Amino acid sequence: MTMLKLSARNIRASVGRLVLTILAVTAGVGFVTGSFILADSLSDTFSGIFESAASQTDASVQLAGLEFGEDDQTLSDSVVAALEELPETARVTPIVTITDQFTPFVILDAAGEEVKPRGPPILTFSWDGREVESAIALAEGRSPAALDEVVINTEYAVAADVAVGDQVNFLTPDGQQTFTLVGTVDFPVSAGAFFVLFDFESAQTLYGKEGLVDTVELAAAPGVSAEELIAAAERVVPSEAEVINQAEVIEQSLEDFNQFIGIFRNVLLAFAGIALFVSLFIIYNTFAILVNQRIQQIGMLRAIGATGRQIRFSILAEAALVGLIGAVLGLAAGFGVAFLIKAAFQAAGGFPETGNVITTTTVLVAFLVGVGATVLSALGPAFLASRVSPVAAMRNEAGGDRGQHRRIIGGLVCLAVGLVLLGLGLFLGGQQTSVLLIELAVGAILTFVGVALLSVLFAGPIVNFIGRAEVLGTSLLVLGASLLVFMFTVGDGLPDGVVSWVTFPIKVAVSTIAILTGLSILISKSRGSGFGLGGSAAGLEGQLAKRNAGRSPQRTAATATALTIGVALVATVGTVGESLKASFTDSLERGVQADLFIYDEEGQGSFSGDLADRLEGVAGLAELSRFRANELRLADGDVVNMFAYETGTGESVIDLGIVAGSLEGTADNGMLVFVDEAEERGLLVGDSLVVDFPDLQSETLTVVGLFEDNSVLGVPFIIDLDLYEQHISNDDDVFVGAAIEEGTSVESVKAAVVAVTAEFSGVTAQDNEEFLNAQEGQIDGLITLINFMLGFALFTAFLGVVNTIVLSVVERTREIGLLRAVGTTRAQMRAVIRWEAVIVCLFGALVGIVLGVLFAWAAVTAIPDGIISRMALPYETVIFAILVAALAGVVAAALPARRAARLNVLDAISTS
Amino acid sequence: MTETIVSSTLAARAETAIKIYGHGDTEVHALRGVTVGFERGQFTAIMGPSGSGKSTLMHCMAGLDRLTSGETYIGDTTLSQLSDKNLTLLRREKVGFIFQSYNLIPTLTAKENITLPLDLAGSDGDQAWIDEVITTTGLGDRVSHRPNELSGGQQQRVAVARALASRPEIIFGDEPTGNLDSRTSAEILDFMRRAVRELGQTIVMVTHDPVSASYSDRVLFLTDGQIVDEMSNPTPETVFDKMKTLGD
Repeated sequence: MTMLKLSARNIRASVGRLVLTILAVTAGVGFVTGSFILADSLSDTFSGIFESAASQTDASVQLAGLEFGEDDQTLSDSVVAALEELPETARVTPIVTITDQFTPFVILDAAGEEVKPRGPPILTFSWDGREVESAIALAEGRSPAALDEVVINTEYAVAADVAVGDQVNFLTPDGQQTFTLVGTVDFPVSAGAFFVLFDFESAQTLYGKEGLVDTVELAAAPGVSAEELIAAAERVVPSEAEVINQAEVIEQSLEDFNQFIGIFRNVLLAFAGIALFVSLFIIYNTFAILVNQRIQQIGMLRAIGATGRQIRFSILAEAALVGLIGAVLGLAAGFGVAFLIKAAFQAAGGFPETGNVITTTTVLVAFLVGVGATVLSALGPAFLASRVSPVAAMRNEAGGDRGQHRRIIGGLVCLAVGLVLLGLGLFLGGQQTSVLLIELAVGAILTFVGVALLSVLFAGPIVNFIGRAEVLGTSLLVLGASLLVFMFTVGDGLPDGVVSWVTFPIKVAVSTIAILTGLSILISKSRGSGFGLGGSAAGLEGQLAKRNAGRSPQRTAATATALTIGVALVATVGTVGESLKASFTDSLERGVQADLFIYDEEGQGSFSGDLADRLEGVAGLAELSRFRANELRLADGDVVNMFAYETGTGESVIDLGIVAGSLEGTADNGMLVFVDEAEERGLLVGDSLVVDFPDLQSETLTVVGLFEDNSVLGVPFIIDLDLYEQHISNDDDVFVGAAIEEGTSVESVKAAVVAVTAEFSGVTAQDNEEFLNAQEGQIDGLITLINFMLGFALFTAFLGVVNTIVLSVVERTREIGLLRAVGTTRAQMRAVIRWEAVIVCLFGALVGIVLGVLFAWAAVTAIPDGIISRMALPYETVIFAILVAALAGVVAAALPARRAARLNVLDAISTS
Repeated sequence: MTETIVSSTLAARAETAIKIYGHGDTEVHALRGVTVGFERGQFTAIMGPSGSGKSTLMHCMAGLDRLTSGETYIGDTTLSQLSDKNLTLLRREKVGFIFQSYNLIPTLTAKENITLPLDLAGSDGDQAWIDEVITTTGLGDRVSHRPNELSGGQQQRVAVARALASRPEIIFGDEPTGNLDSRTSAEILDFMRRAVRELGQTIVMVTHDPVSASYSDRVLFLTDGQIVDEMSNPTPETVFDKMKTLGD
C-alpha cells in the first residue's frame, strides 16, 4: 500500500515531467481508438441504413448469384404481376438500376461540361417515391412519374446549380437528353456520391431494360408471416431467381461493405501501431530518466528495507497510473483523431456523415493499449531500479551510466538479429512476398532498436562534429540552398494543387531560415565574435551547447531516438514512394507508345465498343487498338484477370517489355504472361495450359512470351482479341490506344477524338504526356495520404523530443544554476539549450535518414521488379526532413530553455 | 532499559573484515582485516581521515555492501550467508540508517517518513513506541508537514526518528551532521545521545568532526583500513589531539 501511495505521490510531484509522457500515451491510444471509432461509426451507420432500408421489406426477389462463366441472365418483369396477384403480398416494388458505374447519367452545365462528384460515383436507379427513415427522404418537389422527369439529390442540385422545375440537360448512354427536375431527395449517407432517380417504367426504358427487373421488394400482407410470403413467392418466380428474407437482404448488402471496413480499420491500425511504437520509446526514456533522477531515493528505500520487488512494483504502478490517465485522455483524443481523418478523407474526395460510435471493445482496447504499452516500456527501467544498490543512497550524486554494458550487449543482439532477418529477406530466394515483408518489418524494427541502443557509442563523436560552428554553419547554408535548387529544378517548381500550395511556402521559409542562420554562424565565426542570430552557435553558447550534447551521449541518444524514428519513417516511405514513382515512370515511358489514350480515368470502368467503331472514321488516326478485360479459369480453379488486344497493332500502343519468348504466335492460341506471375506459377515459355473461358468452353493456350512492363495494364495474362471475341460476346472496351498519322498534329486529332468521346459519359481522351502525368499523379496522391497518416507518428516523435529536453533540463538544474551564477545571462542560457537541441535533433535526423534509406533499400529489393525496379532517393524530402528536424529542435527547446533561463540561481545550486 | 544495559552481548560485530575494490593495478584495499564489536546500548563514533575505510566498514556492517573476506554479524545473524532478499529483510527489521543528506521522501509527510520502514514491512509497529519517538523529536504538529517545509535540523530529526521507528538492533549514521551548522548539529547529536541513554538504542556513527565524536561513549580510529586506536568518554580536545597524531 505504501508503495502505491508513493507511486501516486511521485506522479503528483513530477506531474510536470510526466505531462509529455502522458501526452505520448494519449497520442498513441488516441490514434488506435480513433481508428476503432471511425470504423465502428461507419459500420454502425451503414448497418443502420441497410436495416432501415430493409425494414419495410419482408423478402426480396432477385437473380440467383452467378457462377463463373454463367451468362448474365435477366429477370422478366412479368414476375411483378405474378407476385402482385399473390394474396400474401401487401406491397410489390420492382427496382431497376445500372450497377456499372461507368454509364451513369451526368448533368451537363451551360458550357457542356460534365458535373461530377470528386471521387465518388454517380448512382442511378428507379424510385417509387417511398421514403425510408435514415436512408432516403424527399427534400423538395415530388417523386418522378414520367419519362421526362428526374429527381436528383440535393448535393447534386447544388453542385450543378439547378433547381426544382428546371429543364436539366443530361448526358445519357443514348446521348444528350433533357429532363424536368421535379424534385430533390436527401441521402443521409451519400458519401459524396450523386444520385439520379427515375420512376420504374421510365428507368426500364432509359437503362435499356425494357420488360426487365433487377430486384423486387415484397412486403407481407397483414397476418402473413415472412416464411409464408417467401413460400408463396417461390412458387411463382422463375427458376433463375431466388427469394431471400429480410436478414439475407441486409447480410448481402453488408457483406462487401464489412470487408471494406475491415481493410480500412486495419490500414488505420497499422499507422496507429507506428505511432504507438514511437510512444513506447518516449515512455521508456522518461522512466529511464526518472529512475536515474531518483536513484538516491531508491537507494535509501532499499537501505531501510524495501525489497527489489517493492521498488519494481512502485515504478510499474507509476507507469500503470500514467498509462491509465493516458488511456482516458486517449479515448477522448480518439474522437478528435476520428474527426481529423474524416476531414482528410472528406477533403480528398468524400466520406459519409457518421455519428461517433464507441463500443466496449474500443474502451477495453484503449485501456489495454494505454496501460499495457506504458507498463511494458517501463519494465526495463523498473528492473534497473530494483537493482539499485542501497549504497547509492550514501552517494551524493545521481546515478551515472548504469546498465551501459547490458544496453550495448542488447543493442548488438538486436542489431545482429535484425540484420540477419533483413539479409534473409533479401538474399534467400523463393519466399512469398508477404512472408518476406513481415521478415523485413521485424528485421527493421530490431535493427532500429539495436541502433537506438548502440547510438550511445557514436553519438559523442558525431555530435562533436556537427556542433563545430563551421560545420553547422556550412551545412545549414548548403542544405537550405540545395533545398531551393531541388525545388525548382528536379522538383515541381511552382505549386499546382492544394497540397503543394501548403508545403511550398513552408519549404521556401525553411530553406531561407536555414540559409540565413548558416550565414550568420559563419560570419560570426570568421569575426570571432559571439554575436549572431539568437546567440550564435559560433559563440560561447554554441561551445557549451556542443559540449553538453557531446558529454552525455546516453542522454543525447535518448533525446534523438524519438526523432530518429519519425525521420526514419518519412525517409523509408519517401524513398519507397520515390522509387515506386521512378520505376513506374521508367516503365510507363518505355511502355507507353501511343499518341492518344481513351479510357475512363475516374471510374476505371469499360465503355461501349461503339466508341472505337466511331473513332475509326476520325481523320488523322493511323492505328487504333482496343483493349478488353475479362476473366479466365485456370486448371487449378483459380479465376484470374485477363486482357485481350489485337496483336500486331497493340504493340504500337503499349510496349510490354518482352523478357522471354516473343509476341509471335500470340494470335495462334498463344498467351503472354507477366514475369512475376509466371515465376509464382512456375510457367515457362512453351508451356501449354488448359483454361476455361466465361462461356465455359476450354481452350489449350501456349505461353509464347513473358512480359515485364505491367504498369499500364496491371494484369497477369494477355491473349489475342480474336480468341476473346470467339468466347465473349460483350464488346465493351476498357482502354483504346491510338497512334496518329505522321505529319498531323496531336492537338487537332485529339480535338476530333474528344468530340466523339464527349458523347460517352466518363470517358477521357489524353495525349501521351497527359496520360503519363495522370498515372503518376495517382502515386503522388497515395504518398501524400500516407505522409498524412505518418504525421501522427511524427507528432508523437516531436512530443518525445520536447519531453527529453525538458527532462534533461530538470536533471541539470544544479549545473544550469552554476552557469548562471558565474555570469551567464538568461539569453545566453536559452541559446545554450536551443543550440543543444538543434545539434541533438540534427543527429537524430541524420541517423533516421541513414536507417530510413537502408530500410527503403531492403523494401525496394524485396518488392517484385514488376512493381519497383530501381531505387530513387527523394532528395527534396530528405533535405526538408533534416531542416525541419533542426527547426523542431528550436521549437522543442523553447519551453525548457525558458525554464532554464528562469531558474533561481541559489535554489538551483542548492538542489542536490 | 536496565535490561539492555546489563546485557553484555554485542549488537553487531566484524571479524577480520577485508574489502578490496577493483582488480590488478587499480586494486584498493579499503579494509585490511578489521575485527570490532559494538555493545548494545552504546553510542560509538568511527573516526578516521578520508579514505581510511570508515564508510566502507559501516556499509559492510550494515549489510549494504559485501565483504571480500571475513564476516560481519548483526546480533547472531551471519550477513555473508544471507541472500539479497534476506539481507533486505534484516535491514528492514534490525538496522536503522541516518544519512548525511537526510534522504527523506519529499512527497511524504514527516510522520509518513518516520513510519516508512514499518509500512514497507507491512506492520503497524509498536504504536506507543512510535508516539514516544515522535514526541522525542519535538516536532509537535509539524509532523504532518512535508520535508521541504521543515528546517535542516528538523529534517534530520525526522530521519533519526525514522531510524528509531522500527526499534532496530542497531542504527548506523553516515556523517549525520555533515550538512548541518554547529548549533543544529549539537541538537541532533544530543537527540541521538538521548535515544541511546533514554530509549536504550545502539548507534554507530561515522564522522570526521571531533566535536561530533565527543557526544559518543566510545571512539574508534581507523587508518588505512585498520583500527589503530580507540578512546572512551571522549572530549573534543582529546579526539582532536588523537586525530592530529593520525595525520588527517
